[in-house]
Amino acid sequence: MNFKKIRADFPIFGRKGAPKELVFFDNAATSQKPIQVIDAISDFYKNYNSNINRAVYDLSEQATKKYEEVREKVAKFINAESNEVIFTYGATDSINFVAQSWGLKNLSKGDEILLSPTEHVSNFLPWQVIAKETGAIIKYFPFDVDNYVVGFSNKEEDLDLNKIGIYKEMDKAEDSLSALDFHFWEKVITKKTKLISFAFYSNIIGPIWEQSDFVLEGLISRAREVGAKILIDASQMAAHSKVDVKKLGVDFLVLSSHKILGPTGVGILFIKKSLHDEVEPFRFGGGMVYSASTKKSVWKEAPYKFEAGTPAISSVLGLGAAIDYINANVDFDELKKHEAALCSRLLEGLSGIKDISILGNVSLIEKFGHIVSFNIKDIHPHDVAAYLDMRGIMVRAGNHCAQPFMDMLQIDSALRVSFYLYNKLEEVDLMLESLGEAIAALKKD
Amino acid sequence: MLSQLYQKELMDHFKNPRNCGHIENPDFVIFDENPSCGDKVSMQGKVQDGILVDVKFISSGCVLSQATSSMLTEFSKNKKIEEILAITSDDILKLVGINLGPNRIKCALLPLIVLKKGLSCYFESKI
Repeated sequence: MNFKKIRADFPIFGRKGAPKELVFFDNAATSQKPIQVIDAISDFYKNYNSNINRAVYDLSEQATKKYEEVREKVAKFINAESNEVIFTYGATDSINFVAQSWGLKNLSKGDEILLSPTEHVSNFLPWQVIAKETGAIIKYFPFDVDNYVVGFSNKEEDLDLNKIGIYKEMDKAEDSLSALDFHFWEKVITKKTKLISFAFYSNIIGPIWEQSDFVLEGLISRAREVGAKILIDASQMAAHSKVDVKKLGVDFLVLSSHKILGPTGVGILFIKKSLHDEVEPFRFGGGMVYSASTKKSVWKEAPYKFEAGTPAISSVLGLGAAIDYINANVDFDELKKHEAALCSRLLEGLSGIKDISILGNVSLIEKFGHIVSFNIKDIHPHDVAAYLDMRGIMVRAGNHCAQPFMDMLQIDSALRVSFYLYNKLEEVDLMLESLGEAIAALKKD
Repeated sequence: MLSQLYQKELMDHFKNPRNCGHIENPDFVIFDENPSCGDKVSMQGKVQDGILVDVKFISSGCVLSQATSSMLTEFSKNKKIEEILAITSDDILKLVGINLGPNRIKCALLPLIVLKKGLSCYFESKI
């Protein structure tokens, strides 16, 4: 990968009139856009602007063709069939789609929805609402807060399974589980479990699965055994790792365009082909209907039955350009090494600072990470973020929309630095230097 | 970019807060927080003849919420209640001396919200 050339493709780093070059470390929230994506959006409005699917004139035919080509690109990008790819308005919208459509119809009283306690609220609130409506129960993976990985902590005193309502019903014998083993999931996933939904990478601590291969494999094979459906939120994953829906063995997968160099306003929902009859449309209107009459209406085949109304056409074309860009410029193994090196440099610098606490499993972050979250004792993260902003460095501070996880960690907020392909080691060094200044200025005594 | 955010006066109020602590036999004690960032402010006050004769605060959170607690208590002490209830968010910005964006202004406004709530509770209890 030519990282220097890549950075030059992002006009925001050459902003005219800016006092200094942006140091953008909030990539877990959204990525910057290369010129190719920006051009694709304006090219649509300059040369193809028309509504898709319906008109017979050539302009609309061309726009429709381009739109459908993006569906194929996305399908290849995640190793799906093109009719398994549904365009939504974002990853949050995709999860709400599954909850309101599949969830409402297929969940009933006593059924269990299994989530990771580390989830972003976009993969928590849609289920909380559905659980209330259907009488289903939400449960959480046991999470080892000492090592920041899925599973039980080794320390017996940390086996407080009531922390955020985790496994209240588990009996004492299971409480005494001392470590993760292959049979772990048999205790966690039962016949009552109907859906398991989680992010592959946490938006706060990054990798949580990669301590051993068998953890995720075990979950998937156990889910298959009991017939539970699996939804993976790949929002934090798709920009940094190869997403392969077949390899992951998922039923549903969601991601956002804007985190993978594309524009906002478009998301992807993958629904496995074998579920296309089981899942009802979520939105109704133009484009999704085969025949509509006052007596009876018939939906189109998937994926069209899942897409009603005029979609964000220009954003979809922008997403197509983003995928082209990634295919042409990104080798995920190399990218991972690059981001892990940035994380390692930052972690090394942070380790020399007094009273710092890192959120996340450091050894996993050093190998697979793109996010480093931390707190400095007695300094509020907002102040550090605002101070760094004065130096042109953009980091995130707050609860990162994962309040249940923050409760579990017994903190209100944290600082988060998240990297992507255009970030450089020099930027990390600059941040560490500015962080030292921030601490000196903001410490009360 | 808020290059002037952590200016001298603000940092002085943060590091040497005025009116920080407790009042004996206060007329009101009130607490509120910003759950999105964890800023917490508690205020207590004493009212005599329609005047806030004493006010103290305890807060935790960012520099802004703590420093504006100090600034606001200094500003409000010995003022008429109706004057305090008339304080606007623009007044707070003038007090802080910087222009804050929509995300960060919540930190600076929390102490005012708490103080106004405390005074309202005090009056309700008198009716």
